[in-house]
Amino acid sequence: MIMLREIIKELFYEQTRAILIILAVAWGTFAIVITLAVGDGLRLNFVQTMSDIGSRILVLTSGTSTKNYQGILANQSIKLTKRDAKAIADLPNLSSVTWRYNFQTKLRYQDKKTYADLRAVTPEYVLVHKVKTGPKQRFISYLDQKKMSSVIVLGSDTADRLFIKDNPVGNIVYVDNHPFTIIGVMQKRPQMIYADSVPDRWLNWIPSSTYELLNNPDKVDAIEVRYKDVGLIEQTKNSIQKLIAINHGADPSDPGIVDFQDVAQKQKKINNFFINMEIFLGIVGGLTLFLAGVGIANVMYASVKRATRQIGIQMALGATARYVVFRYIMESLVMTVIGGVIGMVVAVVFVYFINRIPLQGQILEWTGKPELSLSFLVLSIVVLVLGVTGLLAGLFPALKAAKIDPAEALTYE
Amino acid sequence: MSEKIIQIHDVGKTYHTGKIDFEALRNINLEIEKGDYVAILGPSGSGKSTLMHIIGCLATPTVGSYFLAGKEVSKFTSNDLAKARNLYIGFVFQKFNLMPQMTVLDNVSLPLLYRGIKTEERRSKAKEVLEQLGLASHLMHRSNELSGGQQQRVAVARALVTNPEVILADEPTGNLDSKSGEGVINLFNQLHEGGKTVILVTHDTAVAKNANRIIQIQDGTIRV
Ligand SMILES: Nc1ncnc2c1ncn2[C@@H]1O[C@H](COP(=O)(O)OP(=O)(O)OP(=O)(O)O)[C@@H](O)[C@H]1O
Ligand SMILES: [Mg+2]
Repeated sequence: MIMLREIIKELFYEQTRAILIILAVAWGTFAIVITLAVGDGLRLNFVQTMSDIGSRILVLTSGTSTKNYQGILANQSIKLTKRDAKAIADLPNLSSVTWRYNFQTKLRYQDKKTYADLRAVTPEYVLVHKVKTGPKQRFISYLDQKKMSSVIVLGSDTADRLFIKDNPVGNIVYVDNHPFTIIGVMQKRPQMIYADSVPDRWLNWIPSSTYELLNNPDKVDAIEVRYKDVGLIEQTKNSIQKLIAINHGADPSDPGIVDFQDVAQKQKKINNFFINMEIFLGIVGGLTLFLAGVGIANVMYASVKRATRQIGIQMALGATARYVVFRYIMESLVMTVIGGVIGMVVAVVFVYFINRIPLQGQILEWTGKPELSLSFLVLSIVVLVLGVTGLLAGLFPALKAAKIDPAEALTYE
Repeated sequence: MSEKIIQIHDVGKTYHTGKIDFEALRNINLEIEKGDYVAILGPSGSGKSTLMHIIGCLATPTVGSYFLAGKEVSKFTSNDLAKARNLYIGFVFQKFNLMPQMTVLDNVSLPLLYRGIKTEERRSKAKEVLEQLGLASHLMHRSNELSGGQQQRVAVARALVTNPEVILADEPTGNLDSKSGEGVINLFNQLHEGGKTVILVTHDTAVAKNANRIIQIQDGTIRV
C-alpha cells in the first residue's frame, strides 16, 4: 500500500497531534473494553454459579382459593401437606420432590451459641438443592429419616458462627436444648439467587421425620421439586395444581390453590438484568469512544484548515479530490487502529492482572469471584465501534479537504 | 510540422465574490506550440495568474474552450483535471510551495505518488532529477532549511520529475534575489533547449525577454 507509508510519515510530521489523538482513542478503547469485560464477567459468573446449582427448581407454598367449590369457600387458605408432596411425586417431568418445615431456634455448640434458621427436610432435599457437604461428611440419609435420628447438617455460615473449624462430624449441637449429632457441614458456594427465602449457607438441616416426631405439624411450609424439562413447566404446574386441588376438595382449575415460585424465572430476570447492564455499560463505553472520535474529527478539521494551502499544492501536483478524501479517512483509521490496539493491549494486560488479584470479602460469598471477561463478542463490538468511529471521524474533515479549490488555496495567504 | 499543445479560444473568466462579479479575463485567444518558450507579461492584477490557472488546469474558464494536447479540458471534471495536471503540467510558483515538513527527496517524489508509482521508483527518479539540478547533497534536508534559490530549484525538480509536456512558472523569480533569480531563469532556458514547452508568467520585462515569444496582457485581455 503506497499510501499507508505516506500517512504514517505524515503522522510523524505532526507528532503531537497524532499522539493526542491516539491516546484519546486508546483511552476510549480501554474504557469500553473494561466496562464490557466487567459486565460480561459479572454475567458469566452469575451463569456459572447458577449452573453449579441448577435452576430447574419449583417451590410450592400454600395458596388461597379464589372461588367456592364443593366443600371449599373462596378465600380459604389451602395448607400444603406431606400427602400433597407424596401425591405429586409420581408426576412426569419431576425428578425429585421434598417437603420442608421452617423454624428458627437457638443452636449451642460447646460454649458457643447462635440463633439460626433450620429446615426439616427429606433426604431428597439434597437432590433438589445439590447441597454439598465436606469430605467424609454426608447429608440426611433415608436411614436417618426412617429412624427419626437426631442428626443435623450445618450451613457454612452457622459453622462459622459456632467457630467450627475442623471436621465436627460426631460432635453434638444442641437444637433448642435437644442434642443433635453433626453429620456434615455444607461446603461454601456462591449463590446469587436461591429457592428458599434465605441463601443456603444460612440454613441448617434436620430430618423431617425427627421434626414431625417432636412437633406433630399438620402442614408443611413448602414443597420443593426439581423438574427435568423447562419446556414442559406449564403443564407440570397445571398437573400439580390439579392434584393438590383434588386432595383438598378444591376447584382443580383454581390457580390460587398453590403458590409457585420458579427459580428459572428468577434466573432469567437476573440474566436479563445483567444483559441490560452490559448494554448500558457498552453504551457508556461507546460514548467515551465516540467522544474520542469527535476529538479526532475536530483536530483533523483544524488541521485540514491549517493545511489548506498544502492540500492545494498536493492537488496542483495531481492529487484528486477522491485521493484526498481517501487519504484523510485512512489517516483517521490508522490513528484509530493504532490507538485501538494500544487500548486493547493495555486492557488485556489490565484484565490479566486484575483477575490475579486475590479478592476477599463478604460480597464474594454472594457473588463468587467474578473474572473480567474478554469474550470474542466484547472484542468484536469494540473493533466495530472503533472502525465506525475512525471512518466517521475521518469522513467529515476529508470532505472538507476535498472541497478545497486548488487555485484559491494557492493564492490564499 | 509543429504541434499545438495549447489552444485557447474566446476564453473568459468571471469571479463571483458575494454580489459582485469580476471579469478577470475576457476574449483570450492563444495558441502555443510544443517546445515553445512563451512569456506572459503584464502588470499586477492584469489576470496573469488567472490565465495560468486555466492553462494549468487548476481552474476552468467561465466561457470559451481550452484544448490541452488535443483534449478539451475546459469540459473536464475536477478528477480528470487533477489527472491532466499530473500528466501534462509541471508547476513552479513564486512562493515555491514546497511541503515544509517533508524532505527535499519526498517533496520531489510527491507528483509520482499520485501516479501510483512505487516508493523505490519514486525515490530513484526524484534523486536523478535532483542530481541533475545540483541538489544531490540536499536530498534529506527539510525544504524549509534551504535558501530561496535552492527551494526554487527543488520546485523545478518537482515540476520535472513527471517529465511533463509543459512547464508553467508563475513569477518564479519574484521571491528571489537577482543572482538566484538568474540561476532559475537559466534553468528554464536549458529546459527550453532540451525541448520542453516553457511558459513564464511575469511582470518583469527583463525576465520575459528570455522567451521566444512575449504575450502582453492587460485588464484581462491580450494586447496585440
Ligand atoms: N478568487 C478570486 N476571487 C475574486 N477575484 C479574484 C480572484 N482571483 C483573482 N481575482 C482578481 O482577478 C484579478 C486578476 O488577478 P490575477 O491574480 O490573475 O492577477 P495577476 O496578474 O496574477 O496579478 P499579480 O501580478 O499581482 O499576481 C485581480 O483583480 C484579482 O483581484
Ligand atoms: Mg499573479
